[in-house]
Amino acid sequence: MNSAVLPDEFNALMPFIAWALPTERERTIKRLASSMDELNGFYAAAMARLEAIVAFLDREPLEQMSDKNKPLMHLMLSLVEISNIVELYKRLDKFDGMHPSRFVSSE
Amino acid sequence: MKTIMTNKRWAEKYPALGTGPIETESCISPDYFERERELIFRRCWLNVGRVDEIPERGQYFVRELAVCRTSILVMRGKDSQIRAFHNVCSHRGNKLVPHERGACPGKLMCGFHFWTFDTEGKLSWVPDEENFFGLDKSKLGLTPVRIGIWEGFIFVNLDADGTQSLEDYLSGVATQLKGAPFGELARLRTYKVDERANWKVAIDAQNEVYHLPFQHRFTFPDAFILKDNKYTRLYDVNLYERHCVWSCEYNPDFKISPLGALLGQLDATKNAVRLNQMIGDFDFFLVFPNMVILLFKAPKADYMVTYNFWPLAVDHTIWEIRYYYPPADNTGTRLAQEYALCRLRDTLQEDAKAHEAIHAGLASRAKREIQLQDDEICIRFFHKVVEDHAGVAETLR
Repeated sequence: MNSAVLPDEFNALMPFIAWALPTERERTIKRLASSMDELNGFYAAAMARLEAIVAFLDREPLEQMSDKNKPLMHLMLSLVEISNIVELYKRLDKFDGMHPSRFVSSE
Repeated sequence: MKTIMTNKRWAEKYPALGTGPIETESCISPDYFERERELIFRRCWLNVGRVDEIPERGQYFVRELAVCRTSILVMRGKDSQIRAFHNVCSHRGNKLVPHERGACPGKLMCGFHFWTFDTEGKLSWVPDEENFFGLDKSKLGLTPVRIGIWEGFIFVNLDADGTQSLEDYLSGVATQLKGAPFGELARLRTYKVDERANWKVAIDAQNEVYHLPFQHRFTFPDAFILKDNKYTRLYDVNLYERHCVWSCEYNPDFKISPLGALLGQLDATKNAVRLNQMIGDFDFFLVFPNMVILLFKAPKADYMVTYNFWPLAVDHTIWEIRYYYPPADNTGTRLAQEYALCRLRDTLQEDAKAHEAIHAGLASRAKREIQLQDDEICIRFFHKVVEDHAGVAETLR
């Protein structure tokens, strides 16, 4: 299980902490295992706090982000990861490409 | 920038290419693939990496060039110079470096009998040397491979007798992109895709914009549409000996998604790298035979994606995709880069599915030729260049 925690200011996002994943590979796997309702729920909650989170994280230089703030960054990268489905395709079965697991990524 | 909508203007610019259909046997014939192996991949300059993969002395990476039936070791020596070698030990032919990358503290040791080479490829130590028969270590260094570096891209050439320099080989591409600040971009992600498709089928599927509003109707429905809000057209095409570039402009009325719009506002980068060598908003350089450099203009900073298509067999290709952005200096920029990356990644997954579907279609031999329209001229040109190297495929009766 993901044992990450979020800064107190963003405690309300703790139900979505499983999305705090450091690599694209992990974020994609989680996306593929999620229902449309789960994606929509995470998207709505994360979008509502995006601006505040960016302002919060930018209090320190990106290159020197402290470990305690990294889960928040990874959560926002997951918001980006799911946004195509939520904003463009709107359904899990609409995208018609090669299975994403075959796009083997390295960071 | 204003794209001219005149019909059939590229055939007019390059009349020697003709306008007829293109044969498909060259994409499915195992015999033809063997000709490509010898006459294209073992003769042409091939991009195998970038200098920023090995910034420190003693760092190296290995590329398995299956199509050339060799493994290549690219290493930055103690003298800072980058060299390429066949990754083969001088003793009994064992693979010297069995992993993908690393850094050596001054020597590379073969795992078989610990024959040891320095960072310049010279044989420096042989265990129990006294028991050999007049071994001349000075003549038993690693076998060098011709190497060239252009704008930070490392190329090798397996033709030991070849004399053409990389710069000369790249011709108009080198001229057009001279001085491009690629070194100011950093690799954000690499994808490797194992595809059941011929390498040319995969390249062809990328090498035009005609398909965008159709195949990518869900991912990029309107980004490049110009004519009557229905079709795309190219802004410019240039053919350079073996290589080519096409450029197009973005649709100014492109509808951006809510997250894309918000991240556009939050992207506060001060690292506004500009690729002033670009021709249009989106340039696609096909560097013959198997490399693509894609350049994108974006509001805050320009960026680059590269493709390398590595054939394993006539119907089997590894598609490597690398994304390069200016190093993010704030959270909004990092997220905006990820957004652009994911958006494009999904379109490439649509393309990759098509590569396999098209290859299967051609392999059925239901169609012996394909039809091309004027904006698909770079596909026509690419196949002509392949033919110039490997000859015309003999069609099976």
